[in-house]
Amino acid sequence: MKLFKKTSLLLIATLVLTLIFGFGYQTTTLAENDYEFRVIVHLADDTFWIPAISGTEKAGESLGVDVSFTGPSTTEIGEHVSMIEDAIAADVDGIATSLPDASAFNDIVAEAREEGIPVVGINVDAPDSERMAYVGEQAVEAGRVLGENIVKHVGEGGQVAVGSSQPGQTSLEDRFAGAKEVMDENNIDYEFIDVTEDITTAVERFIDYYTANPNVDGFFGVGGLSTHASSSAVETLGLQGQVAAGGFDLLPETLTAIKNGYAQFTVDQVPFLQGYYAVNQLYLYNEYQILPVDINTSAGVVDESNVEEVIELSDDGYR
Amino acid sequence: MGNEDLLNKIKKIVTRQSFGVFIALIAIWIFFGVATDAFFSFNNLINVLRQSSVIGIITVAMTMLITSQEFDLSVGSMFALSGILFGVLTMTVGLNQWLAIIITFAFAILVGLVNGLITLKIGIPSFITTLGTMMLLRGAALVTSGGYPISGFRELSFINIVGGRFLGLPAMSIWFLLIAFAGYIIMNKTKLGYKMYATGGNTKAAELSGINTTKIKLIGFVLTSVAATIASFTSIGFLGMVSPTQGQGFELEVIAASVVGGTALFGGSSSMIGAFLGALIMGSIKNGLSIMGTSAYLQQAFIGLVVIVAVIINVQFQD
Amino acid sequence: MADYLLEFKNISKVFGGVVALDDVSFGIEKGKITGLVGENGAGKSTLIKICDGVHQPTKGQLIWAGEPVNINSPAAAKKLGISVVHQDIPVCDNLTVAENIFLGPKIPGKNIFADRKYMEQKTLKLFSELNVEIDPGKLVKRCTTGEKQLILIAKAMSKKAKLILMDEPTTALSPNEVTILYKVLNKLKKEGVSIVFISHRLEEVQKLSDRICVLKDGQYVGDLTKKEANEDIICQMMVGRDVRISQEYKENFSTEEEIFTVEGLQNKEYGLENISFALNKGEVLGIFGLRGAGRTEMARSLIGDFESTAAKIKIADKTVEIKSPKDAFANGIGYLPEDRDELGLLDNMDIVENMCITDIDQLTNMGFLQKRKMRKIAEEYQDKLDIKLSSIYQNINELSGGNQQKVLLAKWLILNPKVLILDEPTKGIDVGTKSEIRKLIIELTKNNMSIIVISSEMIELMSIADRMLVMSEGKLTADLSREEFDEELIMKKAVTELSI
Repeated sequence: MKLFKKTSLLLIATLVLTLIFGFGYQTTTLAENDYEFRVIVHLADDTFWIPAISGTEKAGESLGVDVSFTGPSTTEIGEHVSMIEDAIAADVDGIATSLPDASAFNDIVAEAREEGIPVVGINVDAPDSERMAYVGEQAVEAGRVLGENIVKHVGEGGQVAVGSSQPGQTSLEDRFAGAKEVMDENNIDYEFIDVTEDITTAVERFIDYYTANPNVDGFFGVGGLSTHASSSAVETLGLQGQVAAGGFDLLPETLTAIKNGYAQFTVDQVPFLQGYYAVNQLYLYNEYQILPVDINTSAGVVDESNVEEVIELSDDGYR
Repeated sequence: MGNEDLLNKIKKIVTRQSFGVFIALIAIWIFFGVATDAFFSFNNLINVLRQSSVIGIITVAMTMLITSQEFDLSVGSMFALSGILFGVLTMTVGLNQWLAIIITFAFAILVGLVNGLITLKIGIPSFITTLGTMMLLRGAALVTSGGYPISGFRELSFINIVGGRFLGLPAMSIWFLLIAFAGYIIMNKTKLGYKMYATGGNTKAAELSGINTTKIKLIGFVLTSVAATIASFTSIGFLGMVSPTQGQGFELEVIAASVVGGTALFGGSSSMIGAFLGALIMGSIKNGLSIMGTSAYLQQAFIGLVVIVAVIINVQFQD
Repeated sequence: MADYLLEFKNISKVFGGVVALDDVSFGIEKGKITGLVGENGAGKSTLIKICDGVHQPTKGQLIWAGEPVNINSPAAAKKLGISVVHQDIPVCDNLTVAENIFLGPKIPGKNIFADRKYMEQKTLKLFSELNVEIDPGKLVKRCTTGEKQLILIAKAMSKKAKLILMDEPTTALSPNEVTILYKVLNKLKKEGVSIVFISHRLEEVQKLSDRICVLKDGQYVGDLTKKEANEDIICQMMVGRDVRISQEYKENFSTEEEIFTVEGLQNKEYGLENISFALNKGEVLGIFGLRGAGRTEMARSLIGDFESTAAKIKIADKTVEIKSPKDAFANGIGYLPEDRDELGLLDNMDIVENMCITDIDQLTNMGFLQKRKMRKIAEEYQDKLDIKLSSIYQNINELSGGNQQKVLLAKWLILNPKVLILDEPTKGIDVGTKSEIRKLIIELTKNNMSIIVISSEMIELMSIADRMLVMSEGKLTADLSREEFDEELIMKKAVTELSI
């Protein structure tokens, strides 16, 4: 009897497992074509990626290929590498991945290439790896755009704080380096502050900076979170019109802040294109042996002139 | 006669603590084997072993510590800090790599002693003590590294011990197998293991028997800290880099693996074979889901569900 | 002068402000069995813990084989050759029998390895000497209490101990196991091992011991040789007080009406046998027994907390079924537990909450607490019981033991039960509050409440009870009216195994 109870429990457990996984399995769209591509990014459950997911899905639909979008929910490099390893084991036809470390991905990308799987880097690049091309912003160049806009809003010789939630992260560092060049040319007095990865703490860091330096002319961020925090700090302190704010990425909060005048601009790296072009390049390579090429997706600046339209598109998941 | 012997043997195996875990692992494997073509390939099974290794190495030591009725939540931070310390010593300071390894291990022992002494001498629950050191050590890793990842380890010869492959197996998994075997011997064959079980089973009875339970628990704390350091070295061997943000949440994953393996949270009862299988279960789920290309949003939830189901199966197979 | 193996020289032990041992001096003879007797709280367990290195004496010196020693840890005691079989049977349930026996600083085996095969063989040998049959590979959690006790005795033997101290080793044993134990002890004695034997069963102490030492209120009273000893003298030494509390006049409010009757209460697990008694309305019924007599077990069986069989309980002529404390409660029976900390107090909650918890359903309106009503009640009872506090919203843990007890008492009084069972109501309470609680008990019977008081303080019971039941070994051994109260008689009844 007891054994019977155990066995039936086991069966139920297996059934539950099957149902759960079956549900999970359904989420990948069935392919009309044989190609199966895998897009793997760091911090994959971040809202930042929503337009990128739309981009991969749009590309997958129009090309008739099977694309799955996945990645570790942390910045854990080990896990990210493991997931590329798993994609190789699953024998996919192409991998698009962010490469958030300069050297850690070299081996695994080389292994994928050896297995004949094309690899395209997106969002963050590791030029030393054997990825075939990089689709994303050119971070230093995007940083210069930030710098130019800072100068535009605080004027020459102003004093600003530039926040980063992950000091040491290559692309954020590069953006800052780009901004620095422009700011140096225009005699802007800047301080680089670590605002941490927690939004509440980040806002407090800007407020603390203001307490220490009441003459500040602007708060800026080199990433999505720090930009969101810069505008929130202006709003909290009630300094709109006196202290400028802005930075990177189209977080809904940042867009709302621009609309309400708490922030002046944000530089868009167009994540939609990163997903869209990467899948297209993988398809073209598989189908016609067309080698992937580098694509710079950093382009537009969103400010009060176009923020309304962008908000609409963002709500639909395209920007 | 012979038949009865065989029956008894089978009965002994089936009623063993770790048999339920084994069944759970097989069930998970069968599921993934059916759901994907790639799961049961030789290469992927080696991937599973490798991907379970970092968590597994720490799980072995954590199982011993939980057996003696204590916890260590600082292992994830230690996993980052020990690597960063080693990186700073070799890359920044330019110390001889072997000397740096010795210093890093000495530091790990010190951290274990601090965790243990605060817990046992001052009488703060280890859950709280190590929650504190978890944050403290994470901060130390970020400060020491300035937030930047450290790379360039491929030039050091020690990488040959912790990286690369031996007998076709990744070095990381060989370390895991060795440490799991050592853990099995310690817990089942040595006086130390015996005393750990006694300490966790009834601390007062052990004390009255003349066992220095403080010393036994202290050894447990040192072992988790040292295991996190070994895991960190194997990770450096595999990735060639170390990040100050790596290992966040590992403490809970490790405890989950241990508990899935049949370790009682209140001490006194555990199985090293179970813990080994528990770590493999955690690795298998991640690998299987990743091969299937499951969305990042769903992965965490699946892991949580499987942990619960695995524990239920395990409990059912115990008395 | 006798040949002492261990000698206590002016040993005192003070815990906080409580004197557990007061200038105790005596010796344990080599190769003899020494019986150690005394009332609850006389200091026997403290003395044992000092021998075992768990406690260190506040004052005084231990002499081991003629040399002064300090025993500062259980490991140090083991090193000298002192083994203790503790009363509360500390074993590791998760280990096997053999593993428990060999658990200690020196585990058999080469280098770092533990040799389990050797341990199991050795255990078998030990057991065969003891004439017991327990599988050495069995997990201890599957052993009976008696088996566990025997394991600990075997463990003490395995240490090749020179001195074995046993704290009430026979309480949990079956008669058969007791006989085995006696044999073992005599055998050990022949081998030159010294033994200290603590027991409440005076009969067995007399039978076994070469010499009996008596402790009382932390002081050493004296010793008796085997020839000198008889139950009367031992009892006298155990309870003899400097001042005999006189049988002061007590108002008696009891009536002839039986409010609560129990017939044939049994509880195998706790050894309760055929307990029958009746409580009259307005009566204070005392229940006296030594530790392990089964008093608390009986009380908790009565209120349905422990499962019991065959009990027929009547409340005012109506037969009721009590299966859980909730049933008891619904039938108007209140129970104040002995263990305040574990079973009574709601830790870190305030006094109002602690008082009102049992009646909380009456004090809510659509699920919301009626704070004002609660406060009124709390204030009323604070006044009635004269609870000393700074605010009724004070944390209960900040009150003294006596005032905590008053709060718990108030909790039951709010419900106005017909029958109130008080288990050691004055334990661990200062003298002043003790007498207040005693007065209160009498006061309550005036208002027709019927009260059962369980206590191991005989004098206290004699002063407040109208009638007294004496318990021993899970049985009632005497039913005495107030006129019959006599210390020596009560003590005798409390240590006999004969039922009336």
